[in-house]
Amino acid sequence: MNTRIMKLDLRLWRADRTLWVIVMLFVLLFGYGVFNGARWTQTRARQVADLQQRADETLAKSRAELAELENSAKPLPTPAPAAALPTGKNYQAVLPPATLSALAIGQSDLYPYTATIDIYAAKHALFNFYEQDNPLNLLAGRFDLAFVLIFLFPLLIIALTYNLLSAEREGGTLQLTLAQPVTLRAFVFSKVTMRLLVVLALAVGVSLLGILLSRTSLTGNGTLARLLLFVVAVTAYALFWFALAILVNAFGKSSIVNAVALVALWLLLVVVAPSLLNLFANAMHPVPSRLEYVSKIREADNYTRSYGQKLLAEFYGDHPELTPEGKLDLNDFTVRFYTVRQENQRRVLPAAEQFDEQLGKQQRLINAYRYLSPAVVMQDTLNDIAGTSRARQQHFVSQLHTFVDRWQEHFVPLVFRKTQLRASDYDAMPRFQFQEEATATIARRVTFGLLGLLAPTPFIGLLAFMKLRRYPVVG
Amino acid sequence: MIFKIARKEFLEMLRDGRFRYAAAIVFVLLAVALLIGVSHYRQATEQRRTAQTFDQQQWLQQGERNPHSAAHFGKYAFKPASTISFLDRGVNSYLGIAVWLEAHYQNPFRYRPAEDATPLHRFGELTVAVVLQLLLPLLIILLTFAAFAGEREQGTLRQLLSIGVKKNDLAAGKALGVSGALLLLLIPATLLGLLALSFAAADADGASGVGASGGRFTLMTLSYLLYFGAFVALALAVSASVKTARMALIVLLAFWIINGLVLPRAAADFAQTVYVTPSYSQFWDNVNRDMKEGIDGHDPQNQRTEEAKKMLLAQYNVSKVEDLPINFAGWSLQQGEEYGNQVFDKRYNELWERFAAQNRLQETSAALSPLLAVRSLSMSFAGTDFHHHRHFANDAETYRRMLNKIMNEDLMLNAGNANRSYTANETLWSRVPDFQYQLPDAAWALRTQLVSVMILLLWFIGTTLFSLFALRRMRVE
Repeated sequence: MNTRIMKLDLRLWRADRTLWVIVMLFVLLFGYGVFNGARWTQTRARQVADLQQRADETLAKSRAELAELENSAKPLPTPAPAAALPTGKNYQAVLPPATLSALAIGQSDLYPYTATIDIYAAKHALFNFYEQDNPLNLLAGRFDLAFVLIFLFPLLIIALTYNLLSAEREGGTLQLTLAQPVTLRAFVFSKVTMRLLVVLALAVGVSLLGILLSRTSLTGNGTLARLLLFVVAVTAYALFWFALAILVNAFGKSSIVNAVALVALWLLLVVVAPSLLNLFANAMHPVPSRLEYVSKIREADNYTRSYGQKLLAEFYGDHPELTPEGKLDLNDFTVRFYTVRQENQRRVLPAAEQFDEQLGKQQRLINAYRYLSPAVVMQDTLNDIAGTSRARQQHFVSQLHTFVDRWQEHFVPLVFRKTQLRASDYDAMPRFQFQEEATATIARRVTFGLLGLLAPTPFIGLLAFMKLRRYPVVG
Repeated sequence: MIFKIARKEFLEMLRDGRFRYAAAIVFVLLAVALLIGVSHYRQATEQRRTAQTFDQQQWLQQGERNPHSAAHFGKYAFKPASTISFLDRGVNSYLGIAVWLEAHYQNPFRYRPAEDATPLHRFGELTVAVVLQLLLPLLIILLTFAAFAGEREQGTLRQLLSIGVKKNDLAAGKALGVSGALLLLLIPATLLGLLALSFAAADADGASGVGASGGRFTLMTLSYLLYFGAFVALALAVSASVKTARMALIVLLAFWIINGLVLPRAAADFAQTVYVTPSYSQFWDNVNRDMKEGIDGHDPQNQRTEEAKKMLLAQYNVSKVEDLPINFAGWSLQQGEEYGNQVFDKRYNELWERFAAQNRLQETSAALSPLLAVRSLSMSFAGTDFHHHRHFANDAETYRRMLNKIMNEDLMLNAGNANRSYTANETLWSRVPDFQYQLPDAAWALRTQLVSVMILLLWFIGTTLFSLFALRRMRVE
């Protein structure tokens, strides 16, 4: 590496006005991307905090009500107030946004982030009320940092490298430079390194600045590790595109042909390949049909409804409020209703789990196709780093299932025994706190992605360097 | 003269290896998209038909049951896809495929295909629409970026104009030549599309046969032709205005990138900033509160029920619920249902109007990006946009209300005082007709898209004027 070449190149660069424009443009784009991501994270954090607060407040209010009644030494009124009953209690479990989700909004705009857990919670249907959002916005996708990095960042690299050698050759300066004691390869290497450093400084610098400005806490568990992974991912992606640019330059065509070729490659790898892969992968490995799944769920529902009819023996099963007063004990109804629901779950869950398993298998197969496009691998990697991936959603769902069990274990005995609650019982009630995946797990997944990004680069680089041996230095 | 020029341009393009390769690739992609699109459509239609039949069967064979319990079991409505939707999947993967029509709840649609898909899905599916919206303009740019700038660099522009060829004739000739080359690609593609359409319609129910889709197909084709026309005019205009062919290519590519990649996302972001999407927990909070406390905070549930009861007793001139000639539970359930319907109408309309406002803003942003206009039109004519979804959701909701009414009325009129033990059987279930949905026609779709049509027309006219203007100012060397 020749630092003098690098310094001279930098000087030439600084004089070129158009490059400044491009650089400024990209600073704006990166900045806007991070800003958008940060705004999304803050909105989500606020929504989640609101829900969490209300969940806690509801329980606290009931507790306070009971405490007051207990302290007043008066006997509890009959019928007992709702606060003293184990029935009707629920908790709003939430998935807070990951610390660095400003980096990539990923799938977090698609998946539900909250579920109401009570004793009737059906593990296969936790999010049934939460699947609505403007589909056009979901289709368009979001203008976040991941978008700028995956789609537009390669264009920056192309803009800076398409005439790496061809400009010098067309200008006639290449012959002069190579007449001096420097090899073509060293020359190329130095220029590339300079551009690489500038481009990385730009991308990583603006991103990190944006993260800092959005007042993200960096001291959190694993945040620094994730930031490091982010830097590595951006570098890996950049290296791929640089290698490609050097290869195209090495063919010795004119600047404009280089530009067209690189843009064509960009188009192919970033725009066409992902959607083509999507088409093929889905045709080869179709996901199981939700319609069939619905039919199975309905069968189970149908059966338990008849069974429930026998058990409940009256249509007030669905409408206790229509019961004439004094006839039906609400607690009793709850017991029977719960039993029916459990029977329903017993029948439905195997079908649901089987569906999820099949779905997971097909998804893994489809996911394997992503290595054919660096854009998709990069998106996956950024999603994992930012904590907006499907894996994190599934982690949330499995924690929810555990929480449903805990909630039922805690409340069902109380309901069946018709226990009356005391204020102190409220402290023992389970509360949901999402546990992030271990940083090591994330790092392992991300490493696969990074390897996928880095794998083709050495081959492309090698090919490029071999071609450079026969580079037509003159005309 | 124009035709002579057109013919020359046409032949030149045909002989150009780049055009042949590019056109071949685009054609192959179109064919693949059509093939897989149709097969996917037929599979999905078959699955849907099976599911709908099975659901109707389950409904009819649910045995003896209290009508209100049957109303709680409810039915499922499965969203159909229009025959022509294999050309443009639109927003369908981000909308639920089925809705549970049960008592008391207007449920949201469930099981969005995108949730079951991998992140790869967010990059888009390669449908005919995507190829036509993104790749074909690129082909147009490739064919025309050097139309004038290239001739100028080679020196032939000066020669042409010196032998008396009029600038406008030259432009018209080039435009015609490019169009001819494109049609060479598009006509077989359209024929293939029609063939695919007839395949898709082969096992569709009568109402969505080829005839019904013909109008939509035609309108879609016209929209795309306008879009391509605007690009041809724009490319010619830029080629005429700019000094070198290289500059023309850069400008056009930059426009393509902004048009196709940047603006759709930026417009979506802008729309969501101006009209914030309410969170779904907020939505359900509002619904629940309205149900409990009455729509405007007056008239909470108990009060409502009490007043309704008093009115009913007065109407039948009795003093006790047991003396009523109708079953009180049935009657009050229907009252509750109708009140709930009002609440859902209000809240869902609020939500959907917010979405509609966001979408309208995005459609208006088409003033900066013709892709947004043609995307909106394409989705609408394919029947895969939010308007069509809302149409289906409203129809399904009307059906749900009818189903509930039939159940509640039976309970009300026939249960007498036997609340607990009253059951109905298949006679009652079969009184509820199977849900038949009729897709709205092409004219309906067109009426929802007037803004996009206007903007696309303006783009076409604007780019044509721009090219005429650029021609007049064009430097000859």
